[in-house]
Amino acid sequence: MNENKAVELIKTVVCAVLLVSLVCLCAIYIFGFGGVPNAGLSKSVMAALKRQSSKNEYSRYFSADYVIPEFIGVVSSDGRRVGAFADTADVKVRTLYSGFSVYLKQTFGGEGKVSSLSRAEGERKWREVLSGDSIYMDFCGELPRSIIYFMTFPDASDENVGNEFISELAIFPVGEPTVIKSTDVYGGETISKLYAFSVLARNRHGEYYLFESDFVPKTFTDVYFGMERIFSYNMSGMFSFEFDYGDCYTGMTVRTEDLSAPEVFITPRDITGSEEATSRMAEAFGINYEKSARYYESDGAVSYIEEGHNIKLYRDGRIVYTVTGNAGGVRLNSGSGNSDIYDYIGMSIKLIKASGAGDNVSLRLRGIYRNGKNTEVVFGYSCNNLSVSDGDGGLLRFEFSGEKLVTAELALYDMQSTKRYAGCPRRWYADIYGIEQSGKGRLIPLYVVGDGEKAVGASWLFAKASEVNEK
Amino acid sequence: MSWKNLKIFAIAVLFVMNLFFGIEVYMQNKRMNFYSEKEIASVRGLLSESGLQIKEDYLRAKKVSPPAYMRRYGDGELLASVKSVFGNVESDGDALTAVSGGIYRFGAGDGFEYRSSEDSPLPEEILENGNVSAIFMFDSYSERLETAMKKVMRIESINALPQNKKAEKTSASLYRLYVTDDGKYFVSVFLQYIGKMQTSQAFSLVIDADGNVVSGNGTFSLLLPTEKLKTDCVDLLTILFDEKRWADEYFSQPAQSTEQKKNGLELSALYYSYDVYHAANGAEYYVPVINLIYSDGTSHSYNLIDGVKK
Repeated sequence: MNENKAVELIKTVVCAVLLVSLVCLCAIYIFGFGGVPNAGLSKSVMAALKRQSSKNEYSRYFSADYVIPEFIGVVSSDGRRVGAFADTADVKVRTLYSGFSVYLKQTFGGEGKVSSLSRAEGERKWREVLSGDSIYMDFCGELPRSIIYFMTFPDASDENVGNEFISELAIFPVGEPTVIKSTDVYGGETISKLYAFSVLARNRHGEYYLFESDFVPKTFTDVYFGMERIFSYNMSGMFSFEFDYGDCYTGMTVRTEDLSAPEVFITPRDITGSEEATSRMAEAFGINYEKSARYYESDGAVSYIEEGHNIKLYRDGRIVYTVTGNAGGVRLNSGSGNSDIYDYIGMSIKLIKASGAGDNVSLRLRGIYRNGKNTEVVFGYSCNNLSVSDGDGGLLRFEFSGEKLVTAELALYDMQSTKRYAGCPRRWYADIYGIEQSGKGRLIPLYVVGDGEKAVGASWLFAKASEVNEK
Repeated sequence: MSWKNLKIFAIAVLFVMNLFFGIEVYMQNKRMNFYSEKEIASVRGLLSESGLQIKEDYLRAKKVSPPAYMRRYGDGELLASVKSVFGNVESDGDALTAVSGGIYRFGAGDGFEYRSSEDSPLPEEILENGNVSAIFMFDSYSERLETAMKKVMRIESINALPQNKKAEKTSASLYRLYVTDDGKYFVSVFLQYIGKMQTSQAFSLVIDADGNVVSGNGTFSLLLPTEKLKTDCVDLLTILFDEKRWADEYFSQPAQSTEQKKNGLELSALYYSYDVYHAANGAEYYVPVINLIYSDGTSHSYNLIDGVKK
């Protein structure tokens, strides 16, 4: 009897074991070969990592400040237009850019849809967009979309972010809104309309791009168009402006009562007499100050020549570095062997800092341009939040070919601004600085008050110190 | 049917089902992770047509997915680690400087520099002078030079750091060796290892004839990776067909002699290592890489995550 029970027990245990084993095998079959493991290091993370790692050597030279627009304005279809210049309301513009960049994340990213518009179509669309509700941004110079995107969102891991050059853009709502009803603190009902947004961008060569996305801000903390068709964002403290649709860049005007007159003193920095400054400059470009051949010119300029490259220092503060052979040239060390725009910008900033050209001034990235197969990176200066540049030419220009710097032209200046000013229109201090080759001078604003409330015809005059009327 | 017989029947059915699923799981595993003899023969034939001879053993495994590793740390943690290993530390702009039996400087991206005194020549200064010869058979030097390296790099102290408690132990191994013509200095190039895996972190040390480290520089991780990440690596066959394309182009060059084309190249080594990438947010990623070395010394490496040749 007991023996039978034992046999039955064994049978039951064997049954149970086989059943459990079968379940386990089924689970292995279903889940073990079911699909790709959820990789912690995916291909898209790898792509981002390669890009970031490539610029890693130079990452400490980067700052998101380089891509913050010079001007941000909010345009309402009812005619209201308020905005601020980064030069004079730096913190405000920084905050605005941070808030508004939520729209750039989706439209400029890899998932956004980009299309190129013809000039006529672009101009028509530009006028249409800026006549309605929109956010207008004007960048300092021209920047590739990828630079704007990845400097604004450094942790982004998108692929296929293009390099369309952009100098201005307008963010505008599209399609039918999603209506959100909620209750305010007093128990009253509030209604908000949330829209999908697109971005229309253009550059100074007349190229227009439309970036589209289905993204709709999800929360009330995001910036949105409310029922009154004005942004929810706090725009207090900003000034009203007008611009010519065709040329927003220089055609902007501001009410006269918002204006004041800044002053910047400019002194070319002659470093030819300083052994320390000269050796620092030469060695930043890989030229041995002690061992290189020197050539003195009649105008006081000095050239330091080594095999394959040379640097020429002028007495008016100009520096010209030229590569003349394969042996010369400052090489980029991107780590990945494939230099990208990040490396070029980073290397330029590194050289500016190493050479002393950036001492006591702030830098402004004014543009990145293709010059045939080469790439040019151009910087201007900023003195006490006041932009100083030489039109599109820039004051610090670097030209790269592949992994190598082939030319650099620097203009060294000591600059001083006597006061800080508020509410100055861009046309008063941007891109109008004409380089006077001799003597000390300063930038003074000249402007004409036109009809009505607008200031028109403003410009800068570069004058020698002796010619400045000290009234 | 009685209950007793039913149990026997159930055992028989379950046994058969277990056997069936067991064989199926085994076959499926084999199908997914290993190439069949027929496939191996076919691939070898194709590669052979392009002049690449590859042993069967290298082709057996279909896909190997070594894990990636990650470490995120801030300046504060690096400062604490340097302080703990090297003593007093001064922050000098972007770099950390410690004076402890020499001068150590640690910069961005795991870069470091060591000088026993301020005027000690750095490795590249000695190499650039030109009066150096490479030593290829350096086994007899390894122990002595690695002992000197461990002392100056404080390998044991780095492994003992509380911040590295969860990480695999690190070590470094001699990779290249040069000696000055007067026999005064050895320039030794080391590669850092994490566990048994070689990494792309490399550094050079100048070691004098008495075994004292004079100077050094390169990259070396003080804070070791602690977070293991799953990976979905590219198939070995994808990489080998990329090699086939390279071989077709390589052997079609006029510079290659008929005999070279006839003999082809034999894959003499295949191993995995890690490349170190620095993310913008300060994280350090150890990304698996496959390395192929041919009989003529040609070496190719592929990133196993995206399959891109380095």
